Amino acid sequence: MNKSLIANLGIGLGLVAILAFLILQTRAVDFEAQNEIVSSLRHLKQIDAEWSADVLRSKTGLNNNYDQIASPLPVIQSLEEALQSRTSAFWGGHDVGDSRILPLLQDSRQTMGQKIELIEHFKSQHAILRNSSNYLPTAAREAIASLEKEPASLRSQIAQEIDALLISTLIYISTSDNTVADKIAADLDTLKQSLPQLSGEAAERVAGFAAHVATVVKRETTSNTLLAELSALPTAQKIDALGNAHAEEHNNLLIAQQRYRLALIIYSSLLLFGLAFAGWRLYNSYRLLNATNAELNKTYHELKESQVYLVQSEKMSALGQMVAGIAHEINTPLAYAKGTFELLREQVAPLVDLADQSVLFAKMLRIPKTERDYDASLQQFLEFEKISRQIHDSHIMEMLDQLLNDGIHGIEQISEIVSNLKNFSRLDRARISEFSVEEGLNSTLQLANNLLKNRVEVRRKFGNVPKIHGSPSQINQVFLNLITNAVHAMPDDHPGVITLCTDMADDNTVRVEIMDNGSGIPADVLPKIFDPFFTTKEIGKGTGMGLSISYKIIQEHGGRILVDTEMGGGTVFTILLPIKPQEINAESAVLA
Amino acid sequence: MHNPVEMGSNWPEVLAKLELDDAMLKAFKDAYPDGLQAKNIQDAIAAFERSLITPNARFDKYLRGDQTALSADELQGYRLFKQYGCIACHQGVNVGGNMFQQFGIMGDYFKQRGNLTEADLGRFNVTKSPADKHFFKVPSLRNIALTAPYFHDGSARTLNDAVDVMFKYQLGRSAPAQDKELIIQFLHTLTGELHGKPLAAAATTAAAAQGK
Repeated sequence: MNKSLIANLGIGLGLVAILAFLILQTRAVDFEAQNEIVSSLRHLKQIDAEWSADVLRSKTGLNNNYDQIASPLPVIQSLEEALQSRTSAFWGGHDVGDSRILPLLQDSRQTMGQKIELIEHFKSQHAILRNSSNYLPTAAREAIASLEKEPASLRSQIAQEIDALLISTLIYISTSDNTVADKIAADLDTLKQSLPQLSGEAAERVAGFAAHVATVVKRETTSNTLLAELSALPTAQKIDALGNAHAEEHNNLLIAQQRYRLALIIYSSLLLFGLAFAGWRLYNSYRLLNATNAELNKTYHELKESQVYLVQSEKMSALGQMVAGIAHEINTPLAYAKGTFELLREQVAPLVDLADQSVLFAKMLRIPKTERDYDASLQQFLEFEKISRQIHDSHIMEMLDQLLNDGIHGIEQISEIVSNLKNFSRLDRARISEFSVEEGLNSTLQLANNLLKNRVEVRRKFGNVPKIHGSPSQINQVFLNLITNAVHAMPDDHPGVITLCTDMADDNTVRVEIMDNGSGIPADVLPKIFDPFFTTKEIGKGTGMGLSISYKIIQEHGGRILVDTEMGGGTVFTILLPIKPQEINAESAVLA
Repeated sequence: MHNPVEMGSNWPEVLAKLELDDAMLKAFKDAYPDGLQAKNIQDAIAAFERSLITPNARFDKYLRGDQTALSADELQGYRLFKQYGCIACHQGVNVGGNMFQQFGIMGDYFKQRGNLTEADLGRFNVTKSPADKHFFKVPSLRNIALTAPYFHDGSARTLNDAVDVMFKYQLGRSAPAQDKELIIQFLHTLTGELHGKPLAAAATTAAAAQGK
């Protein structure tokens, strides 16, 4: 059962997981984020292009300062950071994000980083180049001017060399021709060889000029290289590649999403269909269950009804077994009453005589005195007197009264037995009333009197316990059952003693103990004594239902019945009954 | 502050270091009721950064058309500043600050100075590119008269020293002392205003702080 529950739970979780997966896969693609990424890329590309143009403008001298070139830097940085975070957010959780988009983004950022470095270097080189090339004509003029004190031939030779270098350098700046650069390098060497022939200040001036020429050539070459690298740097291509990859993957995402959406529709339809099927089956099961339930209920009520009659028949069976005893029990007071009445009849005879004599005496008194026979009259009077005195002296009237009392007593005894019998045998359903267990025990003992008489000594140790709520006839039935069992357990060879004790087990529980000194219950029988139809008596002597029904009755009163037995030592049945049961189930109390 | 390229630090570390400085503790105690706290440090740095926006220098007024804002000498200094080529690097709105440049183009400044330190490598420390060795950010010359000493190594005590070094190693040319004097006069016109007042008052504080 537990295993199937776990299996069902597993299947349910699996189905829900598939559903969740499909829903997750079909969650809306964030078009806004996608648009932001695309527009950031476009913006970046535009800035990149403008930036390259600005660099060229600086190179050609159209830009006076680098503010223009420096200004895109923070924009590029913030755009790239925004792109990074948006791209990570958008592609986070998708495989293509890590495998394709983010590497392309890294690549693009790296290329952009290279571009930034190249442009920084270009700015540095270009600033120096501009300065030196601006200063070059002045430096040449100053150098030539400083040659004044030198010998004329040397002066004109060096001045010529300086002029030639100045021109070559200016040519190189505008053409970037490598052969010119080579020529300048050679000319510079020649000029430097002449330097030792010059005096202090002239040498310094000429060397300064040479240094600036060298600087111009070096910086021009470097900045040209930088510009060539810059134009070769595929920033735009990288951005395009990123944009294309992004668009492509976004498209794939949409297609996949559509596919998953279709799958979701099919899957949820199947799930819905399955649920409907399960619901239909559940409904059918419920209908079947309800029908079975109704049938069971009906059967249960029928069983209850037959149980009522079973209990009744058990009771009647118990009574049947005792009927001879009870007849004898009635016989005793009956004989007693009969004897009394016979005696009465004897005692009444003198009264008949008295009545006869009284009538004769009265008749005589009615004869007038003149006609009256005196002797006869006297005789009559004496007779009358004698009988009256006899009756008076023998206290017949008191005796009659006594006899009548005795007769009524005998009849009352019979009446009481009959009343107990009637009470006991009544088929009363759940008549809950206040009931004294001690009175119940007394009444039961009276019914069983014939069974006990001359065989068993009954000892009562009543604790004057309070009345309980319960069905008197049911509880009396239990008492009778237990007392009868006790008597039957008595061996014939020693005097039997049944002890009935009542006391309080606790504040709300009455304890009744029915103890015998009989044979005890064998261990192999003990577990079965409360089973229905179990009996140790001969066939026809018991139904086997007694203890089973007793058990049921006490249980339904919210009480317990316990047994303690010792082979050869006797048995104690203990009944615990609540004074106020929590709830006597009206339904179960149908048991009568 | 947490950025590894910037400070690469954290508040507990910063607070622990600042608490060792009694003067710093006292200054914070004077400025804030609850003394040295992370939030107060942030506030102080923000106040400092706001103070960096110092518009309305006399040179700005001149550029806006106020011909009387600069004296004849200062105007001559401005012309020399352009003519000698300072402007090649110290350019743009902030008179510098928009590019990197090698320190020692026309001569080896570091060899001359000696005691090479890691800081002398400049931008190389950030990019690790050999091409960036001894490259530094060209500083803005605004308020330059108030921010001695000069250069990353603080080797130039005065503007005169700084201008001399610039001529020798960056421009590779010599100039008469009078021209340099005029250029320095021009540099003084770049001192701006804070809260509508010229920055001169702040200069004494800065100088005093420097003196400690």
